[in-house]
Amino acid sequence: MNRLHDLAQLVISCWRLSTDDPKIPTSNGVLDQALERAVAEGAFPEWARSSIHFVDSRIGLQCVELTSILEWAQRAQLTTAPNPSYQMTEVQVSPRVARALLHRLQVSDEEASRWGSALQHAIKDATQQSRTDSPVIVAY
Amino acid sequence: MFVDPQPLRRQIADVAPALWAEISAITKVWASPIADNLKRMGLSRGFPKTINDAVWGTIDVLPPEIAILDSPMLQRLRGVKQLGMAYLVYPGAVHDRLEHTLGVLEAAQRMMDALARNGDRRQRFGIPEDDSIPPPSKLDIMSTRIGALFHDVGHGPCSHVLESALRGRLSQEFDNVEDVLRNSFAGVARIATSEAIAALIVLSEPMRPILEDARFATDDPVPYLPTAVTSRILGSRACLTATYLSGVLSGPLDADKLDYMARDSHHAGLPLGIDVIRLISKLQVVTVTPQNAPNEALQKRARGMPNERFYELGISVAGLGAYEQMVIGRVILYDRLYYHHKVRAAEAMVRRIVTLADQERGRQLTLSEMMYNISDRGMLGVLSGELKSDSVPSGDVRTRALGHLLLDRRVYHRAFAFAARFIDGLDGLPQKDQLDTRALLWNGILDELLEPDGCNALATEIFTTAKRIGEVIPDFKGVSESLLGEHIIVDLPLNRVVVRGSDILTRTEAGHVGTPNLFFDPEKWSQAYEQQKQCGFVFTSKEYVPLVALAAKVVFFERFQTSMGSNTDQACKLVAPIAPEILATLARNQICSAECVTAIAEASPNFILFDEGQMRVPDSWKIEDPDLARRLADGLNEVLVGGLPASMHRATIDAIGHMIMFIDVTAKSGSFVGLKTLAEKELQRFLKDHLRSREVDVQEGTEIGGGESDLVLPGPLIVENKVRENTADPFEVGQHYVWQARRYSIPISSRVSFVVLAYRPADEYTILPMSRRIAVAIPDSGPKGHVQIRVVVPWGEGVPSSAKAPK
Repeated sequence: MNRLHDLAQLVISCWRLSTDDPKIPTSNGVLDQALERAVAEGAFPEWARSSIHFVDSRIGLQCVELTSILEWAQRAQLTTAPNPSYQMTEVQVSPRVARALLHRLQVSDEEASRWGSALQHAIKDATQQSRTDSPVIVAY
Repeated sequence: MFVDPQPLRRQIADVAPALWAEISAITKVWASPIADNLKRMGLSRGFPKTINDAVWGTIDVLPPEIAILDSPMLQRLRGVKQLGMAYLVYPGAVHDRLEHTLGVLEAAQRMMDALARNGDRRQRFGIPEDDSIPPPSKLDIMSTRIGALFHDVGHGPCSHVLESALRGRLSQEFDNVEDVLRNSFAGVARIATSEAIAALIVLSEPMRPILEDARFATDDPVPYLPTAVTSRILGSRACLTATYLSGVLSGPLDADKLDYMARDSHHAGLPLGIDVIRLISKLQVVTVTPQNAPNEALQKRARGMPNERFYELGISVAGLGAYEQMVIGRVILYDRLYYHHKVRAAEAMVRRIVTLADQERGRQLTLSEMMYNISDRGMLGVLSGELKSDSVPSGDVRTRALGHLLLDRRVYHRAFAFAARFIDGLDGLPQKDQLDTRALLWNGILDELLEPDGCNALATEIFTTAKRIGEVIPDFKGVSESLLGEHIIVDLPLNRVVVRGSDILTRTEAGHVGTPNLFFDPEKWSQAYEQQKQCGFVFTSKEYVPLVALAAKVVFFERFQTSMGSNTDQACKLVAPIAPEILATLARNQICSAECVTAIAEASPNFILFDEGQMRVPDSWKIEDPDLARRLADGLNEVLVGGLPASMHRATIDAIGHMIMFIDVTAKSGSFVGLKTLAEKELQRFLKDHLRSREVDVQEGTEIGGGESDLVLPGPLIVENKVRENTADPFEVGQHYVWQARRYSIPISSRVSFVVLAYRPADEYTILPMSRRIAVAIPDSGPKGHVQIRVVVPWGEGVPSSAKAPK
């Protein structure tokens, strides 16, 4: 079973039902950190939690599956084409699509909204931490 | 952190006994000649060999490495083409994995030299934190070089093309091994199947005497070489003194990529202009401390290290331009080379040859057979019966025929292309609805085609439809008779490369550490990338293209309610439109629906999703149940993925409105209260009169589908009326009604039907509130793509006790 497809539908749909802001920050490992925290706090169904792995990589904490999840979301037309440096990704579908996808995954609207909010809070924390410590270095 | 090989071997044997046994058996055969080579060399010092190379100029191979190189384990890679079947499109792309392996050895050495030089200079001229950058140890250098030699030994014949099939033999054990490896080797993220096999080969018992040979001895008390080599192949920082070497063989900027990008573009004749020399020269040892660590995880790791610092591979800011160039180059290679449609067709044919041979011989190839020491060409020859092998069994007649097509370069052609961007009929919708509809339709396709089994099932459906078309269309009769299942392949590439540019650390002169921000026009590149690659194809042999193209269009519409319009014809270079009389014949013979005919004839029906705002729900109901409109819209969208064509959408919304009013009127008028009996004819008369009073053009007793439907509303929409005696849950009873309504709906190409059920409540508590008397029925099993809206009205109930006058 291709769990990446399901994970992409789950994460994006949860986000969509929990906020009107379509932009999900993905730079500097923010989403990796947020996902780890959300998963640790019990967000998402058990199948999703056990499908996601985290590793202390050479650039810090990384979710092994995150790049593929974001890529799948784009391939599934749930998000706009992100730039390859992955600063952020933008959800492009409405709540009715999110609800239809979640129904297939047997996730209720209430659960999705709760998990999406947990992810947002975790992103907020991770972004604050990242802003203070992480310079974005550019070529010149 | 160093990993002791022996406990790791035990752990792997526990979690993956069959895989471990098979790999050990294969390795035993391959390792024995290496041991013989080492014995023959004795303890003489020997001389390095210098090998001329198209990419690097010259490559030096050290004496003990020659013992490994000149053995079946490595030499078999001569027959495994680095680019699989790409040589059928790019004739020069015939270089093999042995050539690439030597290139990786040289690239790794140059990277180590550059990093050692950078470390040395930084100690002399850098900031105080750089003063203890460790030089690479003997084990570091040896494990990196031997890791380079072994990094591709996990590939069998036809390498990547058959990788998923190979993994499928023991997929759970592969998962288990990857978990063990990830837990044992710090910093390892994704592990490719070929990397896992290479790691198992290196760790296996038969390799022990070789890697513990005196010629590979280090100063360490434990023979760490097997785990150190494994660690290098996986890109881990374990088993290293100079931890900055961890990404030399496997990382965002590694020797593997540097060699294959330069080599693939050279041999294919696709100039990329990658500045390999600058890239290597700008590699840096990045000193990470708690003060400059860009995130919490790295801060934490730095705090736990001696002197509160550690060292990672990075690139200087001055090297970022060359790094960007490499990222772009990789995108181009995927677009133009790895995912060229003809390469994909040829690779899909190889996979089909393997599964067809499996079917004909009645069993799958084992992992040992798939890893057998034989070239790509030899494996195809054996499978298709052209060559005989005692070790790998052949297929039979059909495999032979398919094998010959490929070996003679009669590669399949594109008959049908499918992609999200090709989905037709959305142009007239508002932008938001276009995005939603496209997403829902495309996810419906992805859900079905994610696994090879899904693609195979779809290919079978297209085959069956093509055969039926051949029976009714004289022009296709002859060609359809020779059509076989293996002549149709559905291919949707899923192992898409993900170009992520910021997985490497960057260091400024001032000692700041972070991840790079890349500036090339990302939108442009990702769009160009998508145009080429994010496209599924139905491939077939040239003579079947028109027939298979038509069958695929029909199947895609009937199964996914999706038309790819003229886009698919353009992508497949098809020019002749389908004659209207052919489509009419297909509809007449129930091979496709009238809706499908309209869609294929490019009338471009605009599909519209259902929205809660469209539902005409009385205000009093909204107060009672604010979610009713949303429930109805969501239910319809779920079953009718992507919505309905505009005319049918409007008819459905209108009909729902009329039914809601029917519920409201019957409740308020008390038409059915206290009735002793209610016949279906009476119910039908009530409903018909109600609809006609609302000026609905309703037809009665129409003969359709071998029976007589109750009512037909504009759309057309079938309405079936039912009356039930004592009923506890009117939405649970009569699940088969949906099939009955579907039977009448098929001939009129309708995907929506209504069942109006008058039920005698089992008791007062089963009288539902009005807003609960209409729902979209989504049964667990039922006709796919058909939706039934159930309307229930109570009959025969007494006046509610709460409404009676007190005694």
